[in-house]
Amino acid sequence: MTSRFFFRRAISTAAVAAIVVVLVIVVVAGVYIYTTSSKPKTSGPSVITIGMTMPLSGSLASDGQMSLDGLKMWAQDVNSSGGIPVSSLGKSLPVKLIYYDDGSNTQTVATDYAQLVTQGVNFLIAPYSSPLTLAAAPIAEAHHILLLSHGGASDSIWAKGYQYVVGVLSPGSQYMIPVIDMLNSLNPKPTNIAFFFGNDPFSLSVMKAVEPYALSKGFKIVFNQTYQESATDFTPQLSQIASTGAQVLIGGAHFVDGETIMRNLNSLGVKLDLVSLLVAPDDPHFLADLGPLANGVTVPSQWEPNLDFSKFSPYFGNIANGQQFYNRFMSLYGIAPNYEAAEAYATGLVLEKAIIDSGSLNSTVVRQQLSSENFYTFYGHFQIDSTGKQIGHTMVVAQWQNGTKQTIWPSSVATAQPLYPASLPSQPVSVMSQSSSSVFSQLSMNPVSIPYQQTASALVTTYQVPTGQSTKPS
Amino acid sequence: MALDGNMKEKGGLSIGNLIPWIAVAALLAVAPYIVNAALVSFLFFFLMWVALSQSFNLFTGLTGYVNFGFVVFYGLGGYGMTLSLLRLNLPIYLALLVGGLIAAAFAMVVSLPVLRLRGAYFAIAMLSLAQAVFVIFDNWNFVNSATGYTIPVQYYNPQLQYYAMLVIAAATCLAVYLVMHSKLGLALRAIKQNEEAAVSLGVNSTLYKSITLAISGFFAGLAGGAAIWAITIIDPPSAFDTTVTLTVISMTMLGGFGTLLGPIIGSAILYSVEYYLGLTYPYLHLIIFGAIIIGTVLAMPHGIMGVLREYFLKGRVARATEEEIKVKE
Repeated sequence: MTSRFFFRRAISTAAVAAIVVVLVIVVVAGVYIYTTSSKPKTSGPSVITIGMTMPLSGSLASDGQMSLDGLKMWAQDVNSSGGIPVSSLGKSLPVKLIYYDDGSNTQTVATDYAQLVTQGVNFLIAPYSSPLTLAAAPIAEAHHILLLSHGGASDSIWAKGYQYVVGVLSPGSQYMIPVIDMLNSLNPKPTNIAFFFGNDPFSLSVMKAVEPYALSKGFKIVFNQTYQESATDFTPQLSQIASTGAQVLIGGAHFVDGETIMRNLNSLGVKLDLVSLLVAPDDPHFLADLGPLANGVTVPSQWEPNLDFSKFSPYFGNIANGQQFYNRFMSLYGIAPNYEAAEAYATGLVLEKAIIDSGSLNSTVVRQQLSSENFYTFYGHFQIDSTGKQIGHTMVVAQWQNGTKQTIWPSSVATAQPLYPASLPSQPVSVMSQSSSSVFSQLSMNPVSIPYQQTASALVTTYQVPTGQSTKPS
Repeated sequence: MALDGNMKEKGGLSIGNLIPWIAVAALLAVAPYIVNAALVSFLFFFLMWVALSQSFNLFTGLTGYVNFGFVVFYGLGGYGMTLSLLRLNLPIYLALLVGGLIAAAFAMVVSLPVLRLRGAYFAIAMLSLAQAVFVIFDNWNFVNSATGYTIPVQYYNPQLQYYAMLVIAAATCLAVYLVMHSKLGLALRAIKQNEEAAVSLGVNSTLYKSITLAISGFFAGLAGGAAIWAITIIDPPSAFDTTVTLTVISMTMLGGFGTLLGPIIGSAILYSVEYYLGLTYPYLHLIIFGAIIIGTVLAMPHGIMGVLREYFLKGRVARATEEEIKVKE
């Protein structure tokens, strides 16, 4: 009796364990079939596959969606014009984007990029943000597949010795440099600056670079702290900033915290001469949410719709200028593009150009080609150093002025004078020097270029609040 | 609280019991040679979830104390591994071990004050503790504050990482089995059912709970270290992400608390469903995934192991009744 009883108990446990085995096998087989069935099975490539994940859910969802929309628009434009000519194959091939939602999560990025490389994608595009780009990089590197970064700005991405990671956007260290240059050009020049950045890799890399630069230009840093991005109230730090006699506040991190800083400043009644924040003010929602509080706020920007690089040569792409990109994007998605959309589209253009020039779909060949590329798109200059870091592209400074986002720096491409002091918007001060970075100074000195200041007013883009978005009273 | 799974696993280490385990282990051991890189990565993270939910189960399943700060062990293991690799230049396997030991030491130290709390108070204390560690790491320059670290590319080796995780997951399962069948396991069961009664019978409840939390922390730390080795980037928001705790709770709950097989089955099902949905429905996967979790919790409050046990129990009763009838005839 007892032996039988034990036998039965052993059977039941074994049966449970057998279920586990079957389960594992089913899962393994299922995933295996799924992955292999999506592999291209034809002998010669009939399509150029480009794989990526984007944060379509989680904390970076809105940025991820903007970037994805930019890339989708590029793919649509390429395919409607007959694809990309690949000389080694003697034909033009359409592009196919394969994208997954990484949920703003580094672990999901790791599994999804492994999935993408086994699907046999020709090229990879990085997810939005620096941490996610860093999680994708080793997989691209290990499989020797080109990974183009459009939304990972942290300088550390290009300090790891990766051979296959190429940046299209200006790195984080460049973000606030033009803001300091702009402040330095003002007359009277402000002296006291408060730094108040978010505590995240991107904002810290911006802060690390701007601190010594501001000191070298003779500014006094009267406050220097970081904040937790998830915080919902910054009034203690902001009232401390007010008490230090700061004239200018430079800082920020992303969207929500940037808006909170402006609301808190208003509720405290703090008057600063200028506020320059990362990321947030570039988004058209910043105006929609804050109304008149947005007035005078400046933002370092990778791209603005009023920029026109078409007079530079060699110029690549069917998008004639920023204005055209803005209009196309607006008509396709019903929302104004920010620079995240533009840099994603430009990333597509960079890949397209390198494929055409190298005539190959081999990542190693295309990567080599990118080292020698030096050209312009509607997004600006493209040129990389030996690590793959972007050195050609330059940042501009934009400012909200009476409901319109104006480019105020470098002065050679400015659509308006800086509004300074912003809290007293009656008399904009004169700009002294014209010192600016290479591309833009070239723009003003280039003999074939149209004198920019004269045409600038025609290029000004008035930001309309996207349809369906009501302007909230502040 | 649906934590009343029967901890006593039936059957000893007989051949019949071992064969399926050996078969699964053998299958997983040869996997990197027969499947592609995507599947290796998938299995790697599946094993990570097995190790994590099993080590969660070791403490919460056996004692009934819900550890809402579980992710802190994962994060400390990741940081311990990264720092000993980059700062002390330790070999990777030693670095993994250091990560596990740091998490275990942390568990031991915090258990002294925290384990004097019971029920919801313990859960809240652990949750706050994990949050406090996150804020400290996010602002502490010694650990590179919010920027975190990346693992240099020369350490990136999916196959080695896979085998490390396989060993960690297997060791975690073995540890849970051994604890369940030891005096410690017996004491923990007594604590779970009635702590006051156990204490009055001479069970040193704080000591036993501390030891178990440390073992749980050790294996979670090992898994965290191996995970960061593969992900190659660690920063405070990803290392101390509460989602890890919630996922581990869901997996253990789906499989069945306090059982050896429950966390494995829970991880296999939830992770593969999540993985498949994430690849197939980029915008809908979270909604579908949530619906599945709600559905399973409603249908199987005691997890899959609870359902299976009920089924086998019924079968046994039925067979016993049949035999009884035969004997009478």
